[in-house]
Amino acid sequence: MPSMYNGTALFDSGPHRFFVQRQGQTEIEPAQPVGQGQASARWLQLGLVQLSVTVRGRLVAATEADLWTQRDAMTAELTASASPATLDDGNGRVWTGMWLVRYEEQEPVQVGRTWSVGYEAVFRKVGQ
Amino acid sequence: MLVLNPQTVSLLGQTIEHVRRISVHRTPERLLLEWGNLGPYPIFADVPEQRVEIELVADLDRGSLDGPSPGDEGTLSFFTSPTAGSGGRTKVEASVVVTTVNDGVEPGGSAQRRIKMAALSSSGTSDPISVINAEDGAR
Repeated sequence: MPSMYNGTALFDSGPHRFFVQRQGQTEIEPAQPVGQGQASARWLQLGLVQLSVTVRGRLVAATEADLWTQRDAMTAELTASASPATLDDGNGRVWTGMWLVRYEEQEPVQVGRTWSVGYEAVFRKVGQ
Repeated sequence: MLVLNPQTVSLLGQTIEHVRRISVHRTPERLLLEWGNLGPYPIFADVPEQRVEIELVADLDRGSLDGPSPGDEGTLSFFTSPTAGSGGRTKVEASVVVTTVNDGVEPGGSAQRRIKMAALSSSGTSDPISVINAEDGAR
C-alpha cells in the first residue's frame, strides 16, 4: 500500500522515510523564577507541542517533465490544503488532521539514470 | 575498456608510437544510495556524477624529452581491430584534458610513459568516449 497524503501518493516514486519529531510540553524559563519551592518551579509549561511528522525521501522520475509534475504536486499541497488531511505511512500508521507546512529540496536535481531530487516535507497536527 | 596495442594513436594532434595499451576507467563521483522505512537494504541507487579517466601506456624511445603536460586539452583518437584487415575496425575518440604524465622504467627494464587524462563530454549528457565504425578504412 502506498504512503499518501490527502489521498495522493506524493512520495512513492522513490525511497522515503517517516519520523516523528519532538513531542511533549512547550516550556519557557521566565526571567524571574516563579513558584519557588515546587519541583518545576523555574519552568512555565505552555502545553503540548504540535505533533510534527517529517518525511525525508527522494522523488524519482524518468524525465525532467515527470519530476516537475511530482514537485508541483508536492508544492500544490502547501497552498491547496484549505483543510487538514490524513497522512498515511503506507505501513499501518495513519495521522489524521495533518497540514503540510513545509517542503524543502535538499540538493540540486540529480541527473543520472534517472532524474531525482532529495526532499524533506514537514506535516503538523492541527489543533494540538 | 582495455585496448592492447592500439593502432594509430593520436593525442593533441601528435602521433604517439609504441603504445602498449589504453584503458578507460569509469568511476562514480557522486553515488546516490537510499533506504526506505521497511528494511535494512537500499532500494534506490544512481550515479548522477561520474568521471571517465583514460590511461595510455607507451614505450619510450631513448631521449624522449617532449610530450604533453598536465592541463593540455585536445583530442585522443586511436583505432582497434580484431584482425589485420579492416573488418571490425573501429575508431575510438575522446576530448581529453591531460592530468598526469609519468615517465619511468618498468620492472622488465623498458622505459615507459603513462599519460592519464580526464575525458570530457560536449554536453554533459553524451558519453565522452565515441566509438565509430571505421571498416571503410577511414583515418
